[in-house]
Amino acid sequence: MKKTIFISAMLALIFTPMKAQNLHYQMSSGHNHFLAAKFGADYGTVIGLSYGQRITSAKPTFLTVESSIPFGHKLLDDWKMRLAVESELWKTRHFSFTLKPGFIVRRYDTDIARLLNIGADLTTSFGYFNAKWLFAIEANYDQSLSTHIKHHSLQENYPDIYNGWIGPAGANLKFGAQAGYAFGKNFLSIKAGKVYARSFQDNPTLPFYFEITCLRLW
Amino acid sequence: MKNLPPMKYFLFPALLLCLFSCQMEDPGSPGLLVPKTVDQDPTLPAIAINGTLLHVETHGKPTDPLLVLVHGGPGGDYRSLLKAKAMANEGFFTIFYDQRGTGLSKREDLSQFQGAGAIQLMVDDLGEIIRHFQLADTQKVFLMGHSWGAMLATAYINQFPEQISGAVLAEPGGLTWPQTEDYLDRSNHIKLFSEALNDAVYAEQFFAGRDEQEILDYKASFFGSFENAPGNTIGNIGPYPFWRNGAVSFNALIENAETRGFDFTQNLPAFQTKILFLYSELNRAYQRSWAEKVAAPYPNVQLEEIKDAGHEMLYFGWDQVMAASLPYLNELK
Repeated sequence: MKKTIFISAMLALIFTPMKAQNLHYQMSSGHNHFLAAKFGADYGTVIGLSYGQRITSAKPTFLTVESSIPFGHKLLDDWKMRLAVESELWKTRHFSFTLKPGFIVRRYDTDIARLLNIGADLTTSFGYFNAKWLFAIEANYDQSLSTHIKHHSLQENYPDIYNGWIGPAGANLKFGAQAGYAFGKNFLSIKAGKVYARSFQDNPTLPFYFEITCLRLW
Repeated sequence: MKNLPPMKYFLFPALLLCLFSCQMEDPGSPGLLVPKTVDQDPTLPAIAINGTLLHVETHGKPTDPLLVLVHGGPGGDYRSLLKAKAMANEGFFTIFYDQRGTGLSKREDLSQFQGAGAIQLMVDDLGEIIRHFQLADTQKVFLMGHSWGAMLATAYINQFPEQISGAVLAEPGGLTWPQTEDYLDRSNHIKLFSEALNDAVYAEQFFAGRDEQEILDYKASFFGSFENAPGNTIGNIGPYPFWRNGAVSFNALIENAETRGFDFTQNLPAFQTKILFLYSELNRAYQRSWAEKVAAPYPNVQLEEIKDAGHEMLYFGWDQVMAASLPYLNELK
């Protein structure tokens, strides 16, 4: 109980001002596109590619499409795609607050079952930046909305098992930090943090995430 | 560039979700993703003992010597041990039971597996099973335990050596917690960039934070896949049958052991009856040297290697297990 209260207090402290900031908004000024490649740990070891396009200039806002796949000899059995809008909502000379709602489709396939999941997430970040550097803290809430299940070997174990759509099966929270360095039209960033289940009880086996991203603007 | 309100991009997906949301089943519904348990399905064979309802089946003549199969896990079930039904034809009243809170036995609250007496509760359940089926004090009782089941069988022998006439122990991880921890570290090894890793954990982003046991049990099916993945350390050649992973039992008993430890060996030197200790050829984390170390507290041990099988030898290597066990059991019968 004490642990839960402590974690809740930490959340209250850090959730208000934060995200998953892939962009250095000062350097993005004057550019309308970016391409990013990433390597990291996100429920497995993953690699990914992202593309972003500026959709409004009133507040710097990018529409992004992100994809990632975990390592392993079956390359496309598991994957995640995310459509998100990343927007810098507030900034001062050296501080920035961004919001990034996203829509997620992801797939998992093994000899046991194939899962196709639809989810939504929201990332906030708050950070310090100057011409070259960015330091931010971030939080992400990832809600699983619906999953289509087609069982394989589990069906042999349990012939009456259900195949079809199931409703919300939970949500995850991520809390972490990011550091980035801009050079020319390029931006190199590293981020890491902890992952929790929504209940803070049923936490993932890999309880952390990690990401190195190389991004180029044009 | 035209200013577009960001939320517009999410209206279509949101609409789609609304359209099929009424078709969706709740993953926590009993029987949807994991089989119903004995309290939910009265057609399943069960007995009420020690404050819970256990899934139990028996084969053979009730007057024959008892052979109690004790499954692994914790949190496993006896489905993969059912080839041992053949022992009923060899003159043993063969008893299978799913341990408290796992398999098709009734789910129990987390608190039952968290306290200082959690392992003792499992020992007491085994004792109650024996008392339920033993018709007379002279009726001999044999235990056949696999993995955690062999550890639990040892815990029972450690407390009640006079009640047990012999035991077949197949690869208990260890008989103390430090020993078990050592074995788990070696047997659960997963390579960082392997398919086995994402097979085990990638689905955890789909199922998280709903604490109904039905969902936790279902989710555990995915995590458990690593032990049967190609190239696995423990030598399993593929998946083996099971009914339900008891996720709450498994996680809580492991945490309990990490916190409190255990030692099932204090009284074993007084148990002079010979035990049959089995280890598998293909389990790279076990092997003869580890078998000798784990079996050492028993004063009288017959050590046998089961060829061409891994840790799940009672399923994949049953013929060899039976060939080794039957002469041993008949000798003590």
